[in-house]
Order: sequence, then structure tokens, then C-alpha cells
Amino acid sequence: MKRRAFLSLLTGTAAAAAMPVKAEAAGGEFKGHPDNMAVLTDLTKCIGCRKCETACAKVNDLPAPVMLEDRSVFQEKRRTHAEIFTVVNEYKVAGKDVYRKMQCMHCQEPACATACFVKAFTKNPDGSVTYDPTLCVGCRYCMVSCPFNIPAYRYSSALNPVVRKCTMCHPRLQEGKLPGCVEACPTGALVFGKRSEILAIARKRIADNPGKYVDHIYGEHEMGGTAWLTISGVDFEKVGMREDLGTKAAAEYTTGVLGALPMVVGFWPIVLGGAYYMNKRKDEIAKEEQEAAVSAAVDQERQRSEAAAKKALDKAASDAKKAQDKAVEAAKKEAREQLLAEQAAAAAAEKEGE
Amino acid sequence: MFYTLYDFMVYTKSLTYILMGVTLVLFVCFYRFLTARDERSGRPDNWKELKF
Amino acid sequence: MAAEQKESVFKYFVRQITSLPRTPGNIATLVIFAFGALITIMRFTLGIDSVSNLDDNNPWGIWIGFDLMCGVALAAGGYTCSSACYLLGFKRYHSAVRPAITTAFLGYLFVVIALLYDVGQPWRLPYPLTVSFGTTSILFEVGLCVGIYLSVLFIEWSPVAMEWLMSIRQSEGENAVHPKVYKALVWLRPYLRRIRKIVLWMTIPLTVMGVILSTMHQSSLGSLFLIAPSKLHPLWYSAFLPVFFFVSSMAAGLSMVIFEGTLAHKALHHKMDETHLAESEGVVLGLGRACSVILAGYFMMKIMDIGMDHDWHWLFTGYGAWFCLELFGFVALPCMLYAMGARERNTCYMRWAAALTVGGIIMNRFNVSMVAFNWQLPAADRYFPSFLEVMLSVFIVTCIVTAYRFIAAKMPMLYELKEFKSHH
Repeated sequence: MKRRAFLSLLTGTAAAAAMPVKAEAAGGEFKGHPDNMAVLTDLTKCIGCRKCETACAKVNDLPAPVMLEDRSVFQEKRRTHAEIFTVVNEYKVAGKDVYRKMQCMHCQEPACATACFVKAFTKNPDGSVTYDPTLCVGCRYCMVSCPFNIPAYRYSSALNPVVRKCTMCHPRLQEGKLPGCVEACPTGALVFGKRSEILAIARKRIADNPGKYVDHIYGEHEMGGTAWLTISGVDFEKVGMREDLGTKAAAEYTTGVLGALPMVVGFWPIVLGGAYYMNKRKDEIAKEEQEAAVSAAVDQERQRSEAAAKKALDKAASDAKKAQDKAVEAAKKEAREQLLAEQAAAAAAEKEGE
Repeated sequence: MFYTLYDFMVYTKSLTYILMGVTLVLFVCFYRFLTARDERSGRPDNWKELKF
Repeated sequence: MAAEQKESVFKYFVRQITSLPRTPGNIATLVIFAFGALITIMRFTLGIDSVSNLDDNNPWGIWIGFDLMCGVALAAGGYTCSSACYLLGFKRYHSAVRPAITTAFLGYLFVVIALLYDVGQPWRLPYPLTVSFGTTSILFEVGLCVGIYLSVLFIEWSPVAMEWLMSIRQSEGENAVHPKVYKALVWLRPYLRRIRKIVLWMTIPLTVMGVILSTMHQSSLGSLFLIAPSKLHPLWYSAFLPVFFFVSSMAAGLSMVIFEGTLAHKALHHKMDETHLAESEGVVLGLGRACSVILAGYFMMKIMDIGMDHDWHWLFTGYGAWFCLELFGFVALPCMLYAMGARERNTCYMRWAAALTVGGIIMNRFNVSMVAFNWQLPAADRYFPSFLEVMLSVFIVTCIVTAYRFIAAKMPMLYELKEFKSHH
């Protein structure tokens, strides 16, 4: 039984050894397409008018969002939905109202693309991450893997349920237009441009306004970097943006394991083939030993029975001889007695004659 | 030229899966080669017991 | 000469079903099948949300957490038993191999069937292997391996069915086989004989393939969650999730063999032949001893993993208490019970340990996929299955049990037919 535990430990060691390192090296070398675009969201400029939501619904043929005048919509935190690609939520931070727009982050190394087993997601050269509903099988692994909880699913459709999310208005970008939300924003809180330029703008804004912004561009490195970058006057955690996501792309978490698997395919046949042949050999040896033991036992038995037979024969012979001797003795004795009797009779007869 | 880790992985993992399939097929062939009986290799399995 | 009504083949099969005895078990099965039919219709006319509580935050529920994850883990008896018997040479487990392979085959078959309900567009399930290869995805690997392994299991299991078909003899009266059906069976016999021979000759390579494929997909089911470190509680998230899933699947499989054997002995004793009955005690003792070692290793690996990520402080939280319950009550405890059973050659301890281990694996898979997953979401956003969702899982399990009952009753699984005695 220890063999089994040993084998499983070996597998574990092999898997563990194959996992960490290569991924680090791989993640760093990839700079993304040079034409990647990005959007900068400046939370200090967002007033929560939600015109971006309306524009998004218009561009994507979605039902119109809750009326802009209806401020009660901010009473609960909303998330993206099958028919809602972007939402603006209100957060109360230090007595002030801060608004944050939530939508697909269009990651540089999208977790959804890595997770999708039919390659339904594509990181386009223009930076947008788009989804192909004609390939989607509906496994929803992309929803599990997205650290920002963005993809939504149209569960209500029996025969064509699909994943739904922001497309960064990829078709509009092809036509040279701006994304719907960026165009609709009245305060300039949303700025669209090349990712490198957007990062430069963000850095400049932070540097030019010391104290106004938190010194961090959210999305520069999170999960390997995103195309949707945010700068804020308050801590990102306070507006519902997680700061514990790390800078490792989702793909880096899986590439190690996917690398260990081919090793299993190469390694197991060696171990199992070895175990099988060891056992076959063990059986053969056991069989040979058994045969040897059997023939030795047979020989021994034969010798023993031969010896016993010989002993019996000898005994029979000696018994016969003894019996013969005895008979001879008896005969001799009888003969002697007879002779004595005859002599006695002869002597008596002689005496009678005188 | 791979722009993203994703592109790199799609390529390398596809190749790896193909190689894994090839490995398994070759393993079966190799196993058959190893355990070939007398019609193929010419030496019967019970060669030790044969007397010359 | 009685005027024989020529019954159609279809009516013949219908009669086989309607003539089944109305035992409580069969009635319950019928009720559950009715629910299954209802849920199937609702799922494919009204959508997934009509029969489940899945939502945008919780895309995976019990159909994945139980039917897929537990189903695959508990079907692991197939590769473990067959490799123990054929590769590691433990001949005394031979009588346990066929039931284990049957369980595994049925388990994987119904995992695929359960997926037909969960996945949005099941008719596209072949896409990853035919249309667009998403090779960066762990799910691709799971799908590929489960698909191939299901085929391997079918081939490994097929002699059971073939021997049954070859051994059907004609009889008179009520239980007579329909003449057309019997004619077809007779015609099939030589082909089945040949195919069976080929399959048996392939036992070793198939078993090796089974171990390789099982290692890959059992571990990959755990790897699925590697991509979401921000969503899985630190006590359960680990870079070694694949190793944990693989090692625990071995314990799960062996324990299921013992557990099912215990149930089968109660219900199907009369179907077991002498070899099976004679070997069964030895099977439990041997597998139980193996399980104790596996569980001991698994326990230590989990402890070391906490140390490596410095997650000790998490043990003192609510989730920590739940983790300790899983680790101590359902891993350490059955490990000790198995060990005590091995020392004292006591199969009773081992049968309890088997039940605990099976429960522990189910608990672990539930924890990783549903309880510790999304642990940071507010309570209102957390997931709990709906009644119909649970009923579908019950339906799937009932299908497996019913199929197993049929196979056990009719086919040479718990016994060997004289004409097909094995000589491996």
C-alpha cells in the first residue's frame, strides 16, 4: 500500500515543481498590441448623471435604464446584468457622494478569454475584449474567472442563452467613433485614447494635483493590466474596487498547471509500466520458486518413499530370514529330538533284546 | 509575434495537446512492440524451457 | 396450438417495464422520473432560471458542485481498483473491479447528461473539440479527458454487457424473449465474442490510459478554481488544489467501492458468486488500509499548505471552524478509523470510515465550489439551490441507481458466468 502513497506524493511533487516559475517569465514579456486603446475614468469628475448608462443602452439596443431623474436607484448597489452593460453606483465617503461607473475592464490578459474553452473571447488590437455568441456553449466559466464580476448571463432564454457584457463599442471603434459612454459624458470624466497616452495623462493629472488624487492608477497593473483605467480622489476600496487582486494575470495562475499535465502523460506510463512489469516479474519469480519448491518436494517425497520401501523390503527380507532361521532351528531341533527319540528307542529295544 | 500571454498560450498549449495525443498513441505502439510474441520477433516467450 | 398474438418489439419492451413489481423503491423511482421529465421540459422551454437559482454572481451551483465535481470524484473507484488489480498485481481485488468499473461508467455517463442541463447550449458541447479549441482553458482539458475517459470506461465495461447478451437463452411462456429480439441476439453472438476478446486483450493499456486520464481530469477539476484566487476563501484556495483533488479522489473512489459493496451486500447478496463473497472481506480490509495511508497524506498536505501560505489565523474564524470540521471530522477521523480497522482486521470500522470519507469528499467539493466560493459576497447575494434544482440532481442519482440495479440483476457484474471465467 505504501507504493500508492509514494506514487501520489511523486505526482504531487512533479506537479508542484512544474508550477510556479515559468509563468512569471512568460507574463512579463508580453507588452500587448501597440494600438491598444484605453479609457480613463476620473472619479473626481463624475457627478452620477448616468448619461453614460442611457447612451450605452441606446448603442447596444438595450432597454432604457431607470430614469435619470430617479435618484432612488442609488439606494442599492447594482451590478451589470444581461440587459445592463454598465451601471453607476453611489458611494458615501467621508460625508461626500462619490460615483463610480462599473463595466468590463477590458483586461490586457483577460481572465474570461483564458477560461473560455471555445475561444469565444478575443482581445482585439484596439484593446476591446469582445465575445462571439455563435461559439459560446454556455459553460459560464468566464463568469467564474472574472475577478471584477462583470459578465452576465441571459438565463431566461431556453435555446439561446448568451454571455452579455460591455464591448467597448468595438463596432463603433472600427468606424472611428468614440465609445457611447465616453461620447455622452458631459463632465469629461471619461477620456478615450491610446493606452500609453492615457497612462501619461493620468500620471500628469496626479502629479499636477498633489493631494487631490490617490497616487495610484487603478488598472495599470491589476490582473496584468486593464484597458479601463481609473484615478480617484478617495481610496479605491471605498468605491467598491478591490485592491487585493494582485498584478498576476489570470492566465498566469493556470499556465503552470496546464504545463504539469503533459508531464503526467509522459511520467505515468513509466511508473505504471514499471509497476506492471515489476509485478509480472515478481509473479514469474514466485511461479519459478513455486515450481522449484514443488519439484524439490516431489523429489524429496520420492526419495523418502523409496527409502521407506527399501526399509520395508529390507525388514521383510530380514524378517523372512529370521523366520527361515527360526524354522531351520526348529527343524533342527525337531530333527535332533527325533534323533534322540530314535536313539532312545533303539537303546531301549537293544536292552529288551538281551 | 505574440502580443499577449493569451496568444502565446493558445499556440503553445495547442501544440502541447497534439504532442500529448501523439505520446499516448506512440506509447500503445511501443507497448505492443515490447510485448510482441513469436510471430513478430522470432523468439518465443517460453524459450527458457526449450531444450537444445 | 395456441393462437400466438404477434407482439411488436416495442410492446415487448414496454411490457418488460410495466410488469415490474410495484415496490416502494420502484414507485419512488417513478415519481422522481416524473420530476425529471418535468424539469427537462421546463429547462428547455422556459430557460435555466425557471428551474434553478443560478445568477450572475453565482454561475455554478449544485449541478456543477455536486453532479460534476462529486460525481467525478466518487466515480474514481474505476481507475483505482483496476490499477490495483491489473497494474500493481493485487489479484484479491479482482471481484471488486467490475462493480467499480460499472459505477465509474455510470457516474461519468450521468455527469455528461447532467451537463446537458447546466450548460446553456448543450448541442454545442462538441465545439471545443471540433470547431474552436480553447486550449488555454482548464475546462478544455476537463472536457477532453472526461470525454476520452468515458469512452475508455465504456470499452472497459462492455464485456459485462456483451457477456450478458451472449448468455441470454430462450425460454417459454411469460418470460420468453421476443423472437425477433432473440434472433438478433443470436446473430450478434460471434461478433460480440470477437469484440470481447479484443477488449480483454486491451485491459492493461486501457487501465494505464484510465490512470493517466483520471489523474489529469481529477486534478483539473481542482485547477478550475486556480483562476479565481480572489473569490475562493484562503483556507481552500491553494496552488496545490489539483494535487488535493487528485489525492482525495483516490480516497473517494476506494471508499465508494467499500460503501457500495456494503449496500450491495445488503440488497444484492443473492447475486454474488462464491469468489465475490469470499474476496469481499479482503477487499474491504485491503482498500481500507490503502485509504488510511492516502487520507493521512492528504491531511498532512493540507496542514502544510496552510503553513506555506501562512493562513493559520483564518482557522480562528467561522469559515475556519467549518474547515476544521471538514479536515478533522471527515479526513482525520476516517483515516484513524481505517487505520484501526486495518490493525484489528475490523471491517465494521472501515465501513463507517468509508461513509465518512464519501461525505467528506462531497463536503470538500461543495466547499470549494459553493461555500468557500464567493465567500466575500454579502449574504443576500449568496447562492442556495432551488427545489427543482435539487430534484434534478436527485433525478440524476436515481438514474444511476436504477441503471446499477438493472445491471446487477441481469448482468455478470457480481458474479462470473462459467463460460466466461477470467484467467487474468
